Amino acid sequence: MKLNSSRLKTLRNAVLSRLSFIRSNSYISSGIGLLIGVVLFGVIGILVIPYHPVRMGSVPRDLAPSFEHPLGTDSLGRDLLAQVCFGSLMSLQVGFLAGIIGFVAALAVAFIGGYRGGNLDGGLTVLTEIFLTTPSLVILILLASIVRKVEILLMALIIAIFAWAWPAKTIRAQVLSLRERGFVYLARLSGLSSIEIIVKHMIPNILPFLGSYFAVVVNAATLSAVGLEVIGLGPRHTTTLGIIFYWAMMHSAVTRGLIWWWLPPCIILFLLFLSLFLIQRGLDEIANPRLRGE
Amino acid sequence: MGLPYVIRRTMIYVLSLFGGVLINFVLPRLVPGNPLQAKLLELQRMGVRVAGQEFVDKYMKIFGLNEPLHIQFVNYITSLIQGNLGISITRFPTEVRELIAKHFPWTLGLLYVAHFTVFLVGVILGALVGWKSKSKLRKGVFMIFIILSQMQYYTVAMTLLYVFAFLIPVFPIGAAYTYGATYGNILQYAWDIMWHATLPALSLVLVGIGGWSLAARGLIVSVKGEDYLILAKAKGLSENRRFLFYALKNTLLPQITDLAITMGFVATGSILVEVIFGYPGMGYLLYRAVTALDYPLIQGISIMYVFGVTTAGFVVDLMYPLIDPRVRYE
Amino acid sequence: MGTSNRARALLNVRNLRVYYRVRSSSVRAVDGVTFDVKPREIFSIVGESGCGKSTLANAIIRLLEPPAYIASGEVMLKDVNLLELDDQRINDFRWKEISILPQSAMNALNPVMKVYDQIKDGVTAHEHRLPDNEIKKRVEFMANKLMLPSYTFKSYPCQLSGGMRQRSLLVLALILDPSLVIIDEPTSAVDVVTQRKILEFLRMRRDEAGTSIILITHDVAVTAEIADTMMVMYAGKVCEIGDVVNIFEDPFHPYTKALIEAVPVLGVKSEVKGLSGLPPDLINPPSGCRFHPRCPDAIEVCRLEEPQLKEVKPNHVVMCHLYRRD
Repeated sequence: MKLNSSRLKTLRNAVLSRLSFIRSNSYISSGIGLLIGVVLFGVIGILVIPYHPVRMGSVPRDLAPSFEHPLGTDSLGRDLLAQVCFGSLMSLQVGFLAGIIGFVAALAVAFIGGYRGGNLDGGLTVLTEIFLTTPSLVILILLASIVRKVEILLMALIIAIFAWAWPAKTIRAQVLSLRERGFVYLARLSGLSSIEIIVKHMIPNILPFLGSYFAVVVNAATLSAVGLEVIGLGPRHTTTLGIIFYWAMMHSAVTRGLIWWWLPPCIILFLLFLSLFLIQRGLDEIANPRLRGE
Repeated sequence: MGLPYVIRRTMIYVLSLFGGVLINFVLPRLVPGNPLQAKLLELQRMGVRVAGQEFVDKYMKIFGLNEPLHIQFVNYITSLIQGNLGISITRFPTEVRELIAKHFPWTLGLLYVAHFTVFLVGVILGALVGWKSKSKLRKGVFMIFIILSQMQYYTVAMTLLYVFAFLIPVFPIGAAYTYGATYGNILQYAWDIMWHATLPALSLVLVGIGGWSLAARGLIVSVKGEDYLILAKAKGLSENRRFLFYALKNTLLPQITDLAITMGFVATGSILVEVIFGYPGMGYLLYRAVTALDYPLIQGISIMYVFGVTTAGFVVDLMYPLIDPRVRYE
Repeated sequence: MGTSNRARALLNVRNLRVYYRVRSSSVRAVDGVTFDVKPREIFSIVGESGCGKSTLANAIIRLLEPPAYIASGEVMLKDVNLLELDDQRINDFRWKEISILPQSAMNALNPVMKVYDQIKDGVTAHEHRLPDNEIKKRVEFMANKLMLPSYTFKSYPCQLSGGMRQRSLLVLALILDPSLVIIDEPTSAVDVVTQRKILEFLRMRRDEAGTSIILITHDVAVTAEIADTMMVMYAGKVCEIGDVVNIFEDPFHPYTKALIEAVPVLGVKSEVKGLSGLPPDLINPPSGCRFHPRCPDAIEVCRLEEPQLKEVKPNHVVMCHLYRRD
């Protein structure tokens, strides 16, 4: 496919027209806006706040919120606002990393199984079901407690081990229904290779679905990450929103009335989950117009 | 219900169990070095006086760690079948199964009550909202629960704990019953248990409703456009009858299978809730085990969870065709 | 129709307009339809897909869902305007006086209820005091005539074939012995044998029970077989209404002529003629007579003015400029 200027122009127009449709959908725009807001919050926080989020003892302990420390400090001598800003970005990182790895794996499994069919598909579906029905957090806890020295990338990989199962199942359902559609049949007759059919014809037709599923996966992955972190199995030498919560619990923040310690990470996580939820709802509506007008 | 369906579900069930057992077995052995030795080293580092090599050898024998790997695996499976889950390292010589047996009922009670309440309330709320989408009250309540569900278990649990156990001390801070209390009769005991269980159960319920009602609403909306509902209206049936028998009934049955799948999710959510409230269930036990790196205990609890969740799912999968005529006569 | 017939009619539809709201405009699916149905009559509504016949049926029995709405007109059943009744009163009418057999029988039965239970609750919603064995008797009577095996009613819909479901719905539609039944495409989804059974049954109902039947179909042959009166619709408008035999022998409206000529005749080796072109856009229908772009006999005025219904023979009306009295 030659890439000349007129081709680029039509491509650009196509993308822009698609994007404008997305922008007009209030769920997606508010969801993306919220997400960007959280990211900005983290980024600006890191750039502006002079305190180190992880190094213990860098500031006096257990200070109540003040102008210098808007969220106060924790019992380990760290500024809480710095932690929250930095932690937001780290939580986002883990969630998206695990989500991407899991989603790509799910795409592969779903298309290989769904498109080819036969015994390969049967085997892959059984595998998917197994990973789907096993309680993931428990196995993740087992894994994380064995590995112990977890860093962000490793944690994302561990979470992805289970994160791929649900999208694999749902994408496969889409692939199966797509495979029967007329245009796929025609594409196969015209001699296109399977990869070409999948990439150029099938995937573009289910993009809203894929987007929606991706939002769900990132949501679930972040939740798993928080679940691990709150128990103390989070990545070392760094802080995430879940880890802040863990320390708050460890130091009895509730019974000491230190609401500024445990509440802010909860709020940011809530905004994160809410934004992903809105994005997912919006894409659902685009994919399934019947949901509109509710 | 065809034979291939039963075979398939059974195969998945058995493989899931086997996978869980395998992971439980393999993982700790992937750690380089001897876990027992590592534990002893750790204890030593903490300043505990530790016995010498013969101590280690003796306990290696007890734990069966000096046999070749495949023999260890067979031993492991046999002991599992016999219900022997090993001995806890931190609470030596208490057996793992004893600890689990002590903590399991608390989780069971909490989980079952919460899960079924969530299902009932969530599905009915969602169905009502989907049926009559104009009612502002229904929609408002619906939105509140959706927002609560995005706040997740830990937020709601901590907030409830903060507001109702700290700020306004109506409920206890934690535990399942008041330690060291004596009870006049069984009723007092039951009341005390319920009083302690209220906040944890409430956390699970408030967060869980959102997801169910969203799904239920979607299902009712899709059913509303079906031909049989339109004909029901043409027949002159009352709105209640149409809602209950023609709309709701058609959406309830598929959601029952979800009940089993989500059991796993609620089980893991309850871990967090138990930890926050210090509620002495399996989740709390797991948490303590993880903190102390008590591997036999961690493994034992993991196997219990895997077994419990997959078995529940398996049972529901087998029972479902019996209640849904559409699947039965496929 | 002449005013002398109005008093005897069971159903009067006057100037019914049913539109669908689409963004800022409306699809004029039914645009000023007027006709009468007498007691003991099989009245067939014939037309292409999209001409508005199903919409018309749903409007009469008040089953329209948004974005469809009734723009104007009246529907008088036994001197009661169905369109003006509130929800409470219309429920009294439903099924007892007027019932419907909808177009797609495949999905019209509740999948999670046994067929008998679905028939029974239709009865108990209106006549609570009717005992169960009384209902069973009625069901068995009709089932016999339709040659439905007895296990049909104890089964769930998914266990039955399409034809059996269709016939079950027919039993359901007639269980309360309504004066008027609307049957939408009873024959398009079933085999010829079931078709025959259903048509015979309908004829028997008309003769013995005096039920009037509005039969909606695109199949002219079915109309010829059992209808007494037929109404030809095109693009939301009435073209011609009259006695079936009369219309077949001597069709007036060009569209009716085309319809009849499109049906092959046994034994006659002639070319089957069709009509060129496609049905019109109903948001912006053609000016004047909606049929004029495809009409082989169109004259100048057809493009400019909408024709009026004119009685060309006793009980036979046509809406066409070719027949307007000067």
